[in-house]
Amino acid sequence: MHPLSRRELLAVVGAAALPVPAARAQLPASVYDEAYAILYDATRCIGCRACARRCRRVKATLPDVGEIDGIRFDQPRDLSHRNLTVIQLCDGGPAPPPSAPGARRWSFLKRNCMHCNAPACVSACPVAALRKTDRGPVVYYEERCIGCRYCMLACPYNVPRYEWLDRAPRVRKCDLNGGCVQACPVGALVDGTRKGLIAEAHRRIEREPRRYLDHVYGEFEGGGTSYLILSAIPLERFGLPRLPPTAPGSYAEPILGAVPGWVAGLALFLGALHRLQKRPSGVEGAVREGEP
Amino acid sequence: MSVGAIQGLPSTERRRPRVSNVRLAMSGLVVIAFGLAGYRFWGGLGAATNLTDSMPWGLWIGFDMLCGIALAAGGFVLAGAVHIFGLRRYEPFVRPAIVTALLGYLLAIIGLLMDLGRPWAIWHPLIMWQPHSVMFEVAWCVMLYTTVLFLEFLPIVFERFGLTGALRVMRRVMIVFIVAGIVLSTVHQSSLGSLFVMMEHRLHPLWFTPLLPLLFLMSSLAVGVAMVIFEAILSGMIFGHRFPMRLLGDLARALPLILSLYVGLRLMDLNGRGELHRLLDNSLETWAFILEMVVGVLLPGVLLLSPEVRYNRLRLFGCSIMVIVGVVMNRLNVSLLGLLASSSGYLPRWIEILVSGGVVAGGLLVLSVMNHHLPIVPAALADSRGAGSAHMKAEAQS
Repeated sequence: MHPLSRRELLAVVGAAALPVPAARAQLPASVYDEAYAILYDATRCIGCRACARRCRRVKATLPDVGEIDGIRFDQPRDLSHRNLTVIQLCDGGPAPPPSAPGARRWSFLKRNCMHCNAPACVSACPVAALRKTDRGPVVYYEERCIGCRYCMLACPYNVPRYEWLDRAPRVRKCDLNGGCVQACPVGALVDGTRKGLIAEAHRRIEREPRRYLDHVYGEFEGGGTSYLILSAIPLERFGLPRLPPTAPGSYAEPILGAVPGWVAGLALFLGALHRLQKRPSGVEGAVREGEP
Repeated sequence: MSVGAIQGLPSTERRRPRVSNVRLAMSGLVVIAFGLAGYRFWGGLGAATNLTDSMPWGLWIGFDMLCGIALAAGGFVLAGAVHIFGLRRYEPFVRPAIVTALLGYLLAIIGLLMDLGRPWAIWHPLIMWQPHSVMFEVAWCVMLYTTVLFLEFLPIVFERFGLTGALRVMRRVMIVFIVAGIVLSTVHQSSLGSLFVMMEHRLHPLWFTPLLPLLFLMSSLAVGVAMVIFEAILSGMIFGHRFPMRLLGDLARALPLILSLYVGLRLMDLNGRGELHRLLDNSLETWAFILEMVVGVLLPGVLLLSPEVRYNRLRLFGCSIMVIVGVVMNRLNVSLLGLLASSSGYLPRWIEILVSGGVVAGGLLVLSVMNHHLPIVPAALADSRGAGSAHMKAEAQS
């Protein structure tokens, strides 16, 4: 229904197909099997934040200064226009998760854009300033952006952040450049093809079932992501959403698909109704056209 | 957004000073809003508003945009009733409704320019297409329908300046604009609801539903009728226009019908999604929902069933206000209150409130000037105190 509705819409508006990067909400996840992806193994992470420091350098972001006892640190807590990736710590709570009896109860989590296969931000953006590229990353094009911030509300992971104090503000988020992977000193981050990394993640779970939850976060969530996470504790405890394996935009798409038919049907109906008001000529009650 | 509460027409010397003061205060508000707008563009959105990463939309979207567009619905509702459904009796309401709708849309666009991070790029959807985006649909609807409203408004100007040739041409093609306007309006009103269909993870379940576009469309029909009644009675109070009570009461019959269907739809939707039990919660959201439904829908819907209410000027006025307030609450609940729980909190900053106030005040001032100089209310209804009555009488004879 997806490509059809798009074609219909274009036809109704009467324009030739313009270069639009198709939102790939309905494409099977396997399209991105060979795309670039990153696997983050939270159980290997030591929380050193070398990845975040490298990200600062690559993306030229300023430190997020916080003060402890009068001494100033780069102290990122949450994603922001400056912190495109951030390491968070979660105390896992009282009981160990049932599926991983031997697993530890706390975990680090490296947060950044998930680079969804069917990104809600991409389908939300009215000017295609966000695009999912064939190679994996979801990329932001500043020069197209109008600043409506719909992407921020559409993203189920609350990833896109805004430069609120800027006169020409940008949406800021990770672009999957892989700098963090190179910076990681303990191999908690690895990159490769999405298919290969999913296989690797399942191998690790199989090898050490007591170390991991039997779940590769991002394999199916919201249609799958290019940032995959292995963890000992459920990531919901970090506030990551539990998502169905369908694309998040899936309500909006059929609604949009209904628009061309609605437009055509209603216009015909109203036109017919208007014509039906007319009486034989000479009758005074004939509808005068166009009296506003 | 009503017919100017600030009509400053110096009809009698006695009235003059009081009315001028209101006008002066509103002009002052507009000037202040301009200054604050400058500050917003100088310091960025973060300097002027309380918006945050977890609450990226605030008052300017919730009130200026969503309410402005909803309250403009009278334009298409009345144009459709009169010119398509052949209810010619209501013709006197069409022009005021179209003028209000045009102003409502212009004000919403001003609010949008304030809110967009890069307002100079507002034209991008014209050439940078992304037809899978609801926001793209909204952008095109705003552009197209504002154009159509302007075209529907033009005959008033032509008539004022006696351009009979242009007027005749416009009359011949006007039905096309009217049909286009209705179609675009239904798409636009509903698409504002569709915007929130992507926010299941954020929006409170009392308001989140895939039916949002339908609910937005239905409530816009109700508020379109209510706005027309509200304006007619208000302009009667201020300018002495004599809209017959009979006509207003008859028009109000539409409200219980729309509102009852709306109630049914909301209950059906809550029950279907298994969220009906939330009505028993003791939460801010539940109380807001109940207030919205009781004040905006149930109360006016029931009261207007009685002819004693419908054909009584003040009571009908009260009911129309209730419907308007209810729709405003609904839009604010969907776009602000319903998103609060999933955010780090938001209260509009005084700058946001003053700018919104200035936008509304500016609209009312323009409306009062238009009422004065343009033939908006048919001459037969305008009394001698009424503005521009000379033109209108000329119109009535033509």
